[in-house]
Amino acid sequence: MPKPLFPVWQKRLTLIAALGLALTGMGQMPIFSRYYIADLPGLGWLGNYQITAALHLALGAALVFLLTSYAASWLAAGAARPTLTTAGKWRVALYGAVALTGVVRVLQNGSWAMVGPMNVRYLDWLHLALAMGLLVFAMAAGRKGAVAARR
Amino acid sequence: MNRRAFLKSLGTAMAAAPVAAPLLARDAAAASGEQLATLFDLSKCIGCGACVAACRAAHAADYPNPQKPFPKMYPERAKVEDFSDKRDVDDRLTPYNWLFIQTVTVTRNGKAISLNIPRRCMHCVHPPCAELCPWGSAVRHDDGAVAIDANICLGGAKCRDVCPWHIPQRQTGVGLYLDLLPAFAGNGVMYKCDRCHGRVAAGGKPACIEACPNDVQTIGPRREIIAAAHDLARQTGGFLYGETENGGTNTLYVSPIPFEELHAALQPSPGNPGLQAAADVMGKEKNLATAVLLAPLAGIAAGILRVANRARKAAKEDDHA
Repeated sequence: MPKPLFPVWQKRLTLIAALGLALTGMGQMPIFSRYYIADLPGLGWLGNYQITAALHLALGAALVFLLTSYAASWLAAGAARPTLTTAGKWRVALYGAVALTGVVRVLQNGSWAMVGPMNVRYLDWLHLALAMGLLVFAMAAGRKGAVAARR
Repeated sequence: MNRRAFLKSLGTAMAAAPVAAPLLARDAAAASGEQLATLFDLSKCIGCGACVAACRAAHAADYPNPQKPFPKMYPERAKVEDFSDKRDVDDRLTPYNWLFIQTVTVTRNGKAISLNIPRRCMHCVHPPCAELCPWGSAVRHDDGAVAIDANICLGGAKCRDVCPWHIPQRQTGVGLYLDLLPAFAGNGVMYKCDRCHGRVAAGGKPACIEACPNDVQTIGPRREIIAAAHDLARQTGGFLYGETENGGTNTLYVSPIPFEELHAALQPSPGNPGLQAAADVMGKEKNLATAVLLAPLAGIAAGILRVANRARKAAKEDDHA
């Protein structure tokens, strides 16, 4: 029997990266220090923007790598391509949009700015709203399969 | 493709990041000459304060008018920062004073020498305040001026924390946070010099430059200003600050005294920035940012390799059958 196109370990890595990104993304706002969370033993790093920003980028690179590898495998699979469920389509849309807005923000900080200075706020707000949407989706339908079982 | 090979391709992409970094040359915009920079010839400054007065007059309408009493904030760690009763303070940066003059006296060759140093935002080429603001309220305009939009700033002060000189100053009791969750999030608005972005966009000059009786400060395309700063330093045997600090700024100082000595004499404190050798805050993240941009290529390659391997294995199994 062939191994599944999307192995369990890759899904687990994706979950770890997404949870880490959610935590370090929240850390971009000045809340962990204000609410004493960074005072807890072992969590001091959550109040350090240099650390959370670096981790957010590193985890972002990992997530983009995993997402694009899913997409490439799915597209290249041809007739063996699994069918996406409704939950799977939502997952693709939300993960894809969060990753895309994140990559555009990285480009914005480099020398390929795509967004005017006074519109960067909309990019940031969209990225935040999509991340919150992904969180709501994960709580509501996170355990539903992304691909339909093959008959 | 197995787990090890998959992770190896991710590792290869991460390792390639430094090699690809020039593709994302961070100083391209600055080198293009689009950004404007200013040059302070500190040997000319007599500390008359005309620039400070002009700045206050030009920005009087931009200063905060907080309503008291301020909303109670929770938890107690969130402290009120209020300069509304100290609007006349002009010996440090405040929400009502975006430019001030430091006077430093150092001893060189047995002689005491005093120097006046106008201080305000350095307008970095890659400003951490703008690039790390999670709310998009701090921005770098195309002309190189870095500004904070008081209409949407929530006053979290991250910009001040990440700024090597801790320039932005907070006023509690104003701004958007009052309309959101004033007790639990935000704490006012951050204020700092915007290098008179509106005046410059309209073809004028920053108020401080126009008001200076000694032509201490000049403004022009960054490349020309850097060349002028080097010329001035060479002609006067002076020292340069701002070209490389924090990865490069759009504010350059030329001083007859080394900046290490000035910094040692300054004794920096809140609202009173130093002149230290500031490391490039955003440059530390350059390789990671490049890895994010290369990750899709590595991911696509890994995905295709996986499908190809599966096809090869399936063909081999068919041959054996």
